[in-house]
Amino acid sequence: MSLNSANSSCSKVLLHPLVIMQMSEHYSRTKVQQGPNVKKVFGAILGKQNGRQVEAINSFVLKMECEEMSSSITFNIEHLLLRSEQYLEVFPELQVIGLYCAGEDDGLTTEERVVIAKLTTAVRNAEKAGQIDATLFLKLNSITAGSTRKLPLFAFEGDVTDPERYRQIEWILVSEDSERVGVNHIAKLSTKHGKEEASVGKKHREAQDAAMSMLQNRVDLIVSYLEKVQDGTLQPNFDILKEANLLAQKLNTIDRYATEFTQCFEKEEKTMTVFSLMPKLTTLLGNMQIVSTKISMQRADLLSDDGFHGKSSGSRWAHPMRFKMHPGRLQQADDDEYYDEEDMENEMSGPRPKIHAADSPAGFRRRRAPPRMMNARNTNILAPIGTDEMELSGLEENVEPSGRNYVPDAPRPSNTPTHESDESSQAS
Amino acid sequence: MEVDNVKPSGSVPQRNWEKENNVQNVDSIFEYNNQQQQDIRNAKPWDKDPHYFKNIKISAIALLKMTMHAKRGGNLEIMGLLQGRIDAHSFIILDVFALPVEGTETRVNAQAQAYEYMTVYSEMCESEGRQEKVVGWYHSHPGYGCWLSGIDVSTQTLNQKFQEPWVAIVIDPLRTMSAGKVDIGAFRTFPEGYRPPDDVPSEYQSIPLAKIEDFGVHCKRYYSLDVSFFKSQLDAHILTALWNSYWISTLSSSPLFSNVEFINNQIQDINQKLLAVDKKLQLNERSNEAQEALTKVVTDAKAVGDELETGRISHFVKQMLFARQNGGCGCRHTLSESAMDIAVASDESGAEPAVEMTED
Repeated sequence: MSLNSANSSCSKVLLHPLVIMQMSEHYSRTKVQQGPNVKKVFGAILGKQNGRQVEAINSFVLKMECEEMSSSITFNIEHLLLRSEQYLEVFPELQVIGLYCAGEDDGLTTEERVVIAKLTTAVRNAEKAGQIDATLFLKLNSITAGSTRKLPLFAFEGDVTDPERYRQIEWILVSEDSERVGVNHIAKLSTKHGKEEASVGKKHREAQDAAMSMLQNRVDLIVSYLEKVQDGTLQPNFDILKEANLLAQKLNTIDRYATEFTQCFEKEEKTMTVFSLMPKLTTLLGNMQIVSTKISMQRADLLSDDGFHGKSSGSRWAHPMRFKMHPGRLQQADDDEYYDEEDMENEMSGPRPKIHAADSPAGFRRRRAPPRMMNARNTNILAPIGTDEMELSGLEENVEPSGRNYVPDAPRPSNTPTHESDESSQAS
Repeated sequence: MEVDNVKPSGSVPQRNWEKENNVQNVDSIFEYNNQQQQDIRNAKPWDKDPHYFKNIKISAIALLKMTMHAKRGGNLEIMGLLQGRIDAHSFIILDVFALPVEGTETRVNAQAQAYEYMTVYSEMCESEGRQEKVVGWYHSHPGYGCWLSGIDVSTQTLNQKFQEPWVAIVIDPLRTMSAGKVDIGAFRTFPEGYRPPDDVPSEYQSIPLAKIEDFGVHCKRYYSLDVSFFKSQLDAHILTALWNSYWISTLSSSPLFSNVEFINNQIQDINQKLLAVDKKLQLNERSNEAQEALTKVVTDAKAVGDELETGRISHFVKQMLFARQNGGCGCRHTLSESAMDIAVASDESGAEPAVEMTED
């Protein structure tokens, strides 16, 4: 657009993809349902006008009928007014700003002129339709669509003073974010439960990549044009040269604000890094949870395994026990701690039942280091005064090294949520 | 558009885009046979089988209209009606229209005013030559995903009793914007008293803590249909042309700015969910429930992480394309070359974390 904008000093109309899509849908549907002799379909364009800027946002189908007298096509005014009121109820900012026609030619025919003129008067006379200066007319040529890269869509604007005069104006595609996502979605025809679903990040990177190559194409085009002009192969077009120069000037502006931009960028970058800590921390938390679950399952397995061995090997319990000690070390350590808390801290006679239990093979299977227990009892006999202390310290020795390897059964996320709340408070 | 004079070989994005585009331009889908539709309506095959409807096909225009309407509603729920027909086990939605109803929270229901609007609207459609009947309704769930709330379930059940065939579509405008793809779901409720067989659990979706109870209570009372989309030949041409102007907005917009509020809400929601997990763990260290809940929170967090990552990529791209500290923009060729470099650089910078996120 920038290249050929020189010839239009005046307004351009802003078009939303929805309008174009509606024209297309209306035409295709009517064609399929009513047969190939349908040549053109008409509808009203809804939009808003802000100063000289006209924006076409939505549209609706018009009820067409044949005029009895002249057998020319026309539309039903009551229908138009009723529909526009209905749309006003849902979208209060929209008003009828023009007419569209999806047909099979490029220009503005006399037949269409009649329809536009009627619409213009109808809208101007209506109370609720609002004020518009000039009616917009959009024409979509469905025949040439697809044969060129250019969209065969033409916009015409009625003259305010002379209703018979129309002139072709330029149109610019504008879209809301939601519209863009919608169009993108349909364009790619993805299904919700489809298999393709690439990750969000990958898709985004592809989109960025595509956009950058588009930019590059355009820059390349300008450069090759300039080169050709320099060579003398092409005649210089001063409008184009002016535009190119303007672009170069703009690049200078970017450089002028470079430091400012970099500062802002770095700041944002830091904020974002803090933010992305959150998902990482949470993921870590989840992984820890999984690890601990697996470990406790393993422990359960090992314990039941031990029990089986102990019973089958009868009196020779000590050997399988020692054998099993190393793989099961972590889990058993955990078990020990459990006992420590339960038995030792609550009851003074805590260690005793353990030792008694250790006398039977079954009991020993649950203890971690039976030989040491035996030693402890021996020292008890030798020095009866220090009984409890000795045993306590012995057990503590057992627990301590394993305590270093200790992996909690369940992560206690009490610390992490406070991190998050910090972040979210920053965010909000 | 200005792009028509670009040499066709240069349109890499176009080809990328077409590669994924397993086009099925089926204009015949627009056909409407009144007699046949009447016959189907009289036969009522859906009375016998609660799972009768399996698919829903949505036209380009219907999807676009719903997305825009939902986005326009912002944090308010909006609703509208679907026009279309039945084809064997599928709904085919050709068009939609908005209703002048706005709700808050999980409380959308069409009242008398909306009903009148609908009657007038569909009568006018018939006079325009549009034959499709109203076959369902859509509404939005801003920010909390596509599922049916208790009230939605009762509305839908009521309509399935008296207005069959009837389908419910839910669309989440906020998630649509944050994920860059339309978040949409279509549902049918089971008749009262029907117990669904234990089928495969539906794919996990993140639901805010405040709504999770409502979701859990009613999620067994409906099932979702497979959603697909279609477009006409002409639509396809137009979409192709539209694509050509999209690269500008891809470069100039940043998902970080457009979704600030949504991302904040999600972080807050994750925070709340983690607190809830913590509470459960304090009660019982080994509770399975808490473990499951934590796994879900991790899924949510990863999604947020992905979103942040995309924002970061855009950021870097922009910085590298347009903010070269050392000036030196005298020659435009450097710019074009740097665009290439960035394509590579952004891939590298983005690749590592993104892969980590997705592989887990």
